Amino acid sequence: MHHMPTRRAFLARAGALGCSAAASPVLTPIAMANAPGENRLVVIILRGALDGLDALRPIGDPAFKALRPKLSDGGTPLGDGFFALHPDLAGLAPLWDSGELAFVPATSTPYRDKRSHFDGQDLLEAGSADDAGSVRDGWLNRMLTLLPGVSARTAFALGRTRMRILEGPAPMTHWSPGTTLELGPQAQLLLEYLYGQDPLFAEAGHTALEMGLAEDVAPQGGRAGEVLARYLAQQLRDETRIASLSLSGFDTHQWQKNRLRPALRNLQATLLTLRAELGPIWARTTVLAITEFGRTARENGTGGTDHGTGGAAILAGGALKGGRMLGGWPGLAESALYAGRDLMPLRDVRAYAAWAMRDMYGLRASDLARTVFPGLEMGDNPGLLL
Amino acid sequence: MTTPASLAIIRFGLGPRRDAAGLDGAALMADLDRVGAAAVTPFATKLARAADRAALRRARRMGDMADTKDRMDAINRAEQRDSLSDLRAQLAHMIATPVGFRERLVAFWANHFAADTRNGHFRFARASFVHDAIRPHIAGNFATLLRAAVTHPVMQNYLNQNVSVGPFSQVGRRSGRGLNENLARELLELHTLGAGYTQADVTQMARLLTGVTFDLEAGYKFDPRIAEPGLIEIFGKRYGGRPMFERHVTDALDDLALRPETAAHLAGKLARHFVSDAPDPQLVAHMQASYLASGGDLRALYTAMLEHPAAWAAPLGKARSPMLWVAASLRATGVTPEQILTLTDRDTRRDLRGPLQAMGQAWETVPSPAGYDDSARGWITAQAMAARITWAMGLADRLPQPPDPRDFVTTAMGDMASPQLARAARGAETRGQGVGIILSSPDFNRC
Repeated sequence: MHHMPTRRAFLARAGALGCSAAASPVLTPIAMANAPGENRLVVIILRGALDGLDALRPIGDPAFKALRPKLSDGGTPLGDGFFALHPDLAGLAPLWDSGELAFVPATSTPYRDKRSHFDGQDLLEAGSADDAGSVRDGWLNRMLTLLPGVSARTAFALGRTRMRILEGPAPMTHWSPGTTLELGPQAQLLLEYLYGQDPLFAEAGHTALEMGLAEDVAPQGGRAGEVLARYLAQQLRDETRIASLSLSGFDTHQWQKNRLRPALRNLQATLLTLRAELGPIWARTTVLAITEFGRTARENGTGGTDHGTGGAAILAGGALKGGRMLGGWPGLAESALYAGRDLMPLRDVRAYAAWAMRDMYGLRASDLARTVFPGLEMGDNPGLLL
Repeated sequence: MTTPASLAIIRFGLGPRRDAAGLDGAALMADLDRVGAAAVTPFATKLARAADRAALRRARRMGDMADTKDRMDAINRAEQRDSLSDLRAQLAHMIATPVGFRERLVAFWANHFAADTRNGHFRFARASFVHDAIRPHIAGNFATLLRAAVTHPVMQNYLNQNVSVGPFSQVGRRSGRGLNENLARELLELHTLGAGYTQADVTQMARLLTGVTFDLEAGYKFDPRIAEPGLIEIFGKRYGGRPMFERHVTDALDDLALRPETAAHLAGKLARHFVSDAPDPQLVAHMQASYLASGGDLRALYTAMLEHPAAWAAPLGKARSPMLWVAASLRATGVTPEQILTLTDRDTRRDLRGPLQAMGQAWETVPSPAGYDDSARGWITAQAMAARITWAMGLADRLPQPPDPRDFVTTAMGDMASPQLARAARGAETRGQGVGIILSSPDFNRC
């Protein structure tokens, strides 16, 4: 199914190839009525293992300062002041105050002990309990299979990297903003004509031409996350309801004080750009930012942190009942650490994603625990949404 | 209905290059005996580099920091360079070989035994793995191919076999280490049976595989000290004993190769790869029966496919993978192997490696142990098509003397061009644009 084409591409198609408006399924009221509602879910994958203890600093924990001598100065206290935002996330503090931001400070996937980025990310995206190898598709795609009226534009994966989280049997679109085609109008017409003749190529070829040639979506500069967010907002205003993108640069083994800054600023810019660009739709939006695992509770000898276990998940959005910390805090005392070295993860991060999807799309908990996150104990509803 | 003369080279080969009309099944089978392969980095080099890296890491732990970083960087740069050289060699070979049925089969089996080296001891060693473990065995007995692929250090490293220890082995009892079932599961699910096994079978197979390991000096080895002792029953047959020998493992692999489930899995997958995402069940049944009757001979499997009329049904139902499409484009436009081999590393990145990644088939990587999805739809996504169009137009732009598109339709498609493609070729503004459109067309992206 095609989304509303740009006027230019639409006229070119309609004029040259005899398509009529009636043939565009998006223009028919039936297609709209079957769409999966107005709520938007954006899942941001923070690749490289975000240090939750640095992004959201537990300054009220008596053990924190000793564990993080070089990585604990400054920050913007939130709420009762037990946690403080990293200085490069300070721009998110107003969202906390207005209830559009929440954290799960100590969570993780079920991945334990092996600490490989690739395996950890595979598990995060597969959504399975232990071995991602036995699951070939992604949990967001499996969620799509439970929704009515899903078209190729309902779900959107952004960026050049593989987005396993959205791979699977349900239709979706994967596109990287900035993928441009330089084609003259004649070449474009001829290719539109050829792709239109062949069902295998009709959708993909048309989308490639339309999106690759669209001038109004060219990236306008800024941080990588800003470009993605601006582009994504455009899709979310249109037909897209579920989206995923990834941000990287979080693997900070050395000199984290400096090296984490660009990645956090990128994350902050992504969230703030999305909020600004979505306008009123932000009120129907929930953003979930998750990472493959946390980092060691202690700084290492080179001013960085190594691969750990528990870490923070970040929730944002106008649809969120925010301004709170979810899921409790295990503490940083020696005896409270996982394996004596990592923040202890409390509740499975998949439970938050599952409850958010249940509340946003009216899905049954039993379907989520069977299809989307097989074997997950969802537990009590954390009441994430307003 | 007559079979188009170009069907063989498009469906079973690498695409028209010179005069490839009139190939039949016998000519395709003869391609299996063609000698020659891409000159990729030998796996021995990859193994030696892994050993060097391990030695440097040990030196660093001992506090010998002096020049370890520089030396490590030098090794990793050499690995990067070799990987680009391997890509050039592979594509040059795909241009040079006249038919390419053999290359298509190498690619098929390399995807069947999907493994890459992003994790663990090796770097960019997938091409070497394919060269060592897959290529020599694609026209023999499947059991030989299975053994070579499953026990190769790259596959072991990818599926964690090298950390699997029999809990009651000499080492297991002392260290408390245990099984890793990863390779055992993929062996049953992906490499052989496909269906008809239980978790208990996976565990039994993992126990049986425990002696299979490798080290960075010798490569593959069977180590009785980590092998789980005792009889292990799989599908009603007992293997192993005290002590465990390597032949207990190879016996089990040989038996797996001849299971009817394996025959069905391989026949269906091969027919889906070459002929159609939904192949004629009679074609698959014929292939399966021939495979079993021959005792697991891959030539019998291929012959059964090529002699069945359903394999020659006319519409092209599959999509060329990015690697195949790039090779077919280079062949059709007359780019020479020398032109590819003499590309700089920078150009190789920009013109080959980067585009292949954007098209969805990054050199040296596989998406999962199941390999690429391999369905026509799996390759033809919007982003991949944008990358294909961009690359095709770029190639056409750089041809010193682009051919007349009206002729190039025939060069590229033989007698299988659609009337629509012929019409579009006539409508192009310039010769180069016409060539780019033909390479980007549905016709040329199919196989």
